[in-house]
Amino acid sequence: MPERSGGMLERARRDVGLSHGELWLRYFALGGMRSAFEMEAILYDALEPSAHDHDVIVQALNERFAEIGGDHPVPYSDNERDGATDQ
Amino acid sequence: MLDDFGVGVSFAGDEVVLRIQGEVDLVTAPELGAVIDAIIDRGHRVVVLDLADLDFIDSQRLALMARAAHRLERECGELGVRSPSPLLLSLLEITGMDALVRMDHRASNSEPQGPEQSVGTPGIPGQTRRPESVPPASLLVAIPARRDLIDGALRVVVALAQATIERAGGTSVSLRRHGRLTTVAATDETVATMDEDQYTTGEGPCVAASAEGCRFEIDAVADETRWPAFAPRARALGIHAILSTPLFAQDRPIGALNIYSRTVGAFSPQDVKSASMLAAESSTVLADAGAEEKELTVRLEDALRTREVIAQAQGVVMARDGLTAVMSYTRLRTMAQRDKSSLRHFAEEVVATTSHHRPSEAAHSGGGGADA
Repeated sequence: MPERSGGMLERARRDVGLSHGELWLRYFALGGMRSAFEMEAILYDALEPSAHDHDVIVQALNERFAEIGGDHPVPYSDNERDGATDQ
Repeated sequence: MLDDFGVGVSFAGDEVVLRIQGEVDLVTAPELGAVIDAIIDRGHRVVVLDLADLDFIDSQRLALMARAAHRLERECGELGVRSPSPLLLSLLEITGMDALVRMDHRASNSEPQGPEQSVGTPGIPGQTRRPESVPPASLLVAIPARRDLIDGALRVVVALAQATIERAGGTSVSLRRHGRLTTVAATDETVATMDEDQYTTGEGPCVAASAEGCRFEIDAVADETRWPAFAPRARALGIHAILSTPLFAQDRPIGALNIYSRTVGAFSPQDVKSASMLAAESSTVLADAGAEEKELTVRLEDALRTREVIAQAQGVVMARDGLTAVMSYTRLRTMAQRDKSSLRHFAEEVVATTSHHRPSEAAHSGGGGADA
C-alpha cells in the first residue's frame, strides 16, 4: 500500500509501530465501536470522529506508547477541560 | 424458554436462514448451537445466519459460528453470513472467520422466504420445497490470513517438485479457497489450463485428491476411464500421465500437488515418494499458518475480556457518581493515566474493589475506585 501522509493519529500509529489491524484490535478492546475500515478513515482524517471515538483511539495509541516508555504523548479531545465535563 | 430465544428460522430448499435477534448470552449460546446442530442433522447443508439485528458478537458466538462452519464444511455444506454490521464484519475479518464463511450479500428480508418456524426442538421438516435460487453446496475451508507467504512457500514446493521429478512436464498446487479449487502456483500455462479443466468438469485426479484426501495417478491418459469429461482435454494438450497428491490442513484435505507429464508411465515409485514428501512439507506450511490464525482468535478473546471489564467498571462509576457512559469512561481513563496503569488493569481494580463491598457500601465508597 502506498504511504499516505495521514493525520496526527496516523503519524502516532506509525511512531508506535502498530499495524492498522493491531491498532483496531486494541481500539476494539478498549470499547471502540467503529469498524476497522472506519477507524482507518478516522486516522486519515477522512471521517470526523466523535470526541469519545477520538479518545478511545488515542487511549489505544497512548497505552502502546506507555508500553515502550512514553507517557501519553497523544492529546485527548478534552485536554483543555476536566474529564467529567465531556458531554 | 425457547419462545424467548429470538431466532427466526426460514427454510428454502436446502438452505436454512436463521435470523438471530437480541443478545445470545451464556445460557442461550449453547441452545443456538444445538439448533444449528439439529438443522444439520436433518440434512440441511446450507445454513445462513442473518445477523441484521445484531451489532455485536461475543467470543462464544464466534466460536459457535466457527464450529458450525467446520461441521458443515466436513459435510460438504457451507455456512453463510448475511447482513453483518461493519463492526461485526471487522471482527469476522480479523479472526479469519471471513474465509470460513460465505458472505451472503442478499439483503435481510423480514418476510420469510419459506415457512417460518419457531425454534422448538421438533418441527424442522425433513422435506422442503426446492426453490429457484439455492446456491450450490460447496466446501469451505479456513485458509490462513498470510496468503502471500503461504503462496510463496507453495511456489517453492512446485519448483522443487519440478526439479526433483525427472519426467515432470509441469507442476502445480491447487488449494480450496472460498469454496472452490484455485491454482495457487504453477510452472506454466498448460498446467494451469489442465487444473482449470478439472475444476470446470468437476473431475480428474486433482479434484479427486483434493476431495478424498488420497493419491490419484493416471498412468496412461489414453486408457483412462474414471474421468471421461476431463481425460480427452488432457490428451488434447499432450499430457499422458498425471500424479495428484493430496494436501492437508488440520487433517482435512484442502488441495493437491499435481504433476503432469508428456510421457506414458512417467512416474517411478521414487517419484511418488518424492511427491508425497513435498506434499507433506506443504501441509506443514498450511498447518503452521492455521496455528497463527488460532493465535489471533486468542487475542480476540482477550480483547473481548478487556472490553467486558471496562464496561463493568464504567457501570460501577456511572452508578456511583451519577455519570453518563462517556463521562465515566473519561473519568476511568484519566484516573488510570494518573495511576500509570492501563485502562484494563485499572478497570479490573475498580470491579474487584466493588465486588468486595456490599452494594450499599459501594455506593458510599466515593473517590472513584482509585482507593482499591
